Amino acid sequence: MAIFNKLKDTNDKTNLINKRFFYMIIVVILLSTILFTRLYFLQIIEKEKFSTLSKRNQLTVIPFEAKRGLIYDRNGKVLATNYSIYNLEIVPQIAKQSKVILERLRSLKLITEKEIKKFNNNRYKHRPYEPVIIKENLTEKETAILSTYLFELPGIYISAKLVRHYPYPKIMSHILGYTGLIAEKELAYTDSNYLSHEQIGKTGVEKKYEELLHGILGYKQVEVDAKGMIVNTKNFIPPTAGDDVYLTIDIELQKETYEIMKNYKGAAIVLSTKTGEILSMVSVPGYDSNVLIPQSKDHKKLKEIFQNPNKPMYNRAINGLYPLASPIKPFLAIQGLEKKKITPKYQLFDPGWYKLPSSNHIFRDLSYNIGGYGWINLHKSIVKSSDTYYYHLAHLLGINSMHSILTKFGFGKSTKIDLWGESIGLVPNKSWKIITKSQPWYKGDSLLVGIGQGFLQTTPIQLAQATMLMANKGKGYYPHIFDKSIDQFGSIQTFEKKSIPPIKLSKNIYWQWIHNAMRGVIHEKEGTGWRFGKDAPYIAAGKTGTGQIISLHHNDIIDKENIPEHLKDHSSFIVFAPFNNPEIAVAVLIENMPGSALLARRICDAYFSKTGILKNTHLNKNNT
Amino acid sequence: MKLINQLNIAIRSRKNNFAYHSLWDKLHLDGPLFTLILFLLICGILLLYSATDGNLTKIFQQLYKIIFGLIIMIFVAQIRPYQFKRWTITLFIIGIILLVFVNFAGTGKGAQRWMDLGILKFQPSEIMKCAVPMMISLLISRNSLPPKIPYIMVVSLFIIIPCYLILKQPDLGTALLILFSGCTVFILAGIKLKQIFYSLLTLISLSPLLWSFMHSYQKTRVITFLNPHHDPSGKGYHIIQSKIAIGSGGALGKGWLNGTQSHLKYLPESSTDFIFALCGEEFGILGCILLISVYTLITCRTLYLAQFMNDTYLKLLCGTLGITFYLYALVNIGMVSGIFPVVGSPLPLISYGGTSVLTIMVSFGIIMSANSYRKLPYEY
Repeated sequence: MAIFNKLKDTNDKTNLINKRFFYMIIVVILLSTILFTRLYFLQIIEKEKFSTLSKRNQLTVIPFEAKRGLIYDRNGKVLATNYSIYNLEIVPQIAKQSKVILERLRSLKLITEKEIKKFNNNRYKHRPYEPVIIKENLTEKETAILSTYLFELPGIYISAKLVRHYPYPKIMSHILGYTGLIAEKELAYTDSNYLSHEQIGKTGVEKKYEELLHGILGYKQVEVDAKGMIVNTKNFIPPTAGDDVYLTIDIELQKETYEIMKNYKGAAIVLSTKTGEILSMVSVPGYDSNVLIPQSKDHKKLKEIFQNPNKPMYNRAINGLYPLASPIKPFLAIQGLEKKKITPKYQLFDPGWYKLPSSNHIFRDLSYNIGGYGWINLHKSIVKSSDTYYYHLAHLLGINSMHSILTKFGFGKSTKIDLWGESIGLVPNKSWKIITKSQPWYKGDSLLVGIGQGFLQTTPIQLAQATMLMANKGKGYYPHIFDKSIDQFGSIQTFEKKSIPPIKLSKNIYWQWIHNAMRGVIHEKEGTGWRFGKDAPYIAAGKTGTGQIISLHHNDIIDKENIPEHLKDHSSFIVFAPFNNPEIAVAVLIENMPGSALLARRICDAYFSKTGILKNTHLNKNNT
Repeated sequence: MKLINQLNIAIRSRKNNFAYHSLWDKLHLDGPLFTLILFLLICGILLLYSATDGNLTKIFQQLYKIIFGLIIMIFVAQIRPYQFKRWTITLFIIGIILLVFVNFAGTGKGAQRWMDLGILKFQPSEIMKCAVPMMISLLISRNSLPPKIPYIMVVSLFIIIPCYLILKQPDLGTALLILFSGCTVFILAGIKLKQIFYSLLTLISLSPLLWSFMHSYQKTRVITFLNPHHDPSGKGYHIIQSKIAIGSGGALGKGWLNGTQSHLKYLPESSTDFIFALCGEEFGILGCILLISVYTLITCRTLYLAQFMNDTYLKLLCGTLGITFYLYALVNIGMVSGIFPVVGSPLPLISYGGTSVLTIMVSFGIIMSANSYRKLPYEY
């Protein structure tokens, strides 16, 4: 029985354990199913995600910078160029014993302890195949020493980097702008065509035509292992150099304009009336754009530029907002004739002040012409620049009519100039005043607009554009500075100039009357611009202006001598020439100083002495 | 009496059946099991060739170890099963002594696991992988089944002591696996599900205590497991890269020797602990399923064979060894595919490295011996 019991016991045990074996087999199969599910999830459902991650691990792109396009003037003279600076680079993948190599460089006195320290701190921020710059901007002597010892320094390279250079720094600074390191904000919207340490145009042509000038990055696709070593190269696409850009600027004229203007604060613009091309555009004071390039590192000069109270960085030609002042008069006169409010024969008595019929407020003649000009007609009102006449005309026209003609001449709206950051200016009207000032429009406001003061604000480029329209009898092209671009294969892309909506008058003779009056400003004895016309070898037509900065209160008499410098009147002058067949429209504006007429004359002389038109104009003068 | 007669007939018939029919029987090996093991070993060599970029010295080293392992397995298979029972206690005591010794005089990278015997280095914890299941099986099979709770408590000491010593080395992975192998014996011995549930509950409630015993590197491993993207280039790097390797393999894989993750060395430890990721990358889900299926089959075959054994000790031992083998594979694959934390445990029979192959071969030797002699009454 003992045996039987033992056997029974064994049998029970066997059954119990066998049952457990059966369960365990099920558990094992279940666990395997869990693993299968996990693998299905990883390898089938999420395959794409992991494939991309794997590729991102494995493939890296090494970019190559494109050469930035050059900038030329209309005659092919270089305005912006690239020059090479040399950097000392080390590639850690090749320079395996970097300590020894760096020590050798130090003994050659090429690098200092500080630069070694900087490299050691930064070296693990880069992948080993990436060249790390140890020293920037090597001198010629250093480059020479280095090239002799280069063969014994594996992994050390001299790399050339192209850096922007401007041969006419102060003269062209506002037009060209400058390049600087790309900012993070800019990097975000550049379609990955930029490297984080690349140069990008910051203002001016460099910014406006950035897309053309920059070119397209090239790249090399390489396979990289976990240590960052390049295993092999898969793909190489060379960079596309940026296009060369030709401007409408004539650098010779620009140079002379700058010479003429350089002792003042202000702007001068020479516009070709036939095409709208900007031949010369100067804003003074200028600044040295080479200082602003990151590689220059001339902090002292940089500080000077930024701390200069005259704000040299400020492009007065397109950003400066000034009262339009007396140059408004011919434009309003056109509207007066068109709306039949005045005729050339209409005469007004000018006592030196004007009073609205319904009020006692006296509007003084701002040119301090005490006593007035007596009886004046349209011609004389422009020649002598009578404020009284235009107070009256403004009263007759009303603000809406004035707003309409000024807008047609391009005031208060964009000139569409192809430069960065143009100011729009302001031509007020009733609704503008209600919205911004929460005040109704007074009749007095209209009168101030009538002499180009009050809320009216304009930029020198608008002034030049309006002069061009006047010269062409209401026609013309939008001012522009871009002439053409040539890409690296030589194909040319020219500027598509757009015409300004023409101003049509019911009678063409109106233009002639105003032109004659503007000629009178320069060539008649009483003309306010007689300084311009003195001994002029050609006939021109223009208008002077004196921009008031401090607003005049009623009958205040101002002591002219004691006005602080920055509140003194601006002086502006617009002119087109030659009179019969206008070629150029010029606008000159100088801040806090009189005398713009003479500057305009010198600028015109500079233009005509170059083109040789001078003689022909002599003949024209004799004929008339 | 009728029953005794039947039994006598049964015993006689078994005796009659006990004849060496095939070569397998003559060698005391189990054909299917041996084939499956051989298949895994060949897979291991192929994967290793890819993982080491065709480094022949490494491959030959591994081949020698495999051949040595196979010889050991065949040798162990020839030993009569009662010998294992006889030597169980001695082996266990030797193992404990070596563990104590290695805790004071061991060498190893940061962890004291290795013992230098001059010719070969080995880990005493490997002995315990066999010795603990043997010891527990012996203790359990002495008494009636299922074991009573107080008895289990006493027997548990024989698991906890070696586990504690291994944890001190520190080697969390092995300690846990040995703990599990000990518990497997209890489960096979038929403790009730309720009891398993309660003990799991106590284990969970004790886990904060375990946490305080763990080394900081073990703690970071658990944290990393819970959130691998917490520090992608640091601690989570292993798991992320191995998931990328497996996931990018897709259905059919990138092809043998074409895995970019491993060949460009993004995948760490691609020849040892993370070799399964390499399999996933180069052979896709197909290769993975094949491999897991083979592991499952080996375990099922072991359990199937254990069914027919007469002796409770051998039954428990073989079952436990088979399940433990599966557990090794499960833990490794689970870790590589990101469902378990990173514990340094190799993929059995495939990962590069000798000691684990030897231990597993010995355990299969035991299984085959027990299977081969099962037809004889135990005492023979």
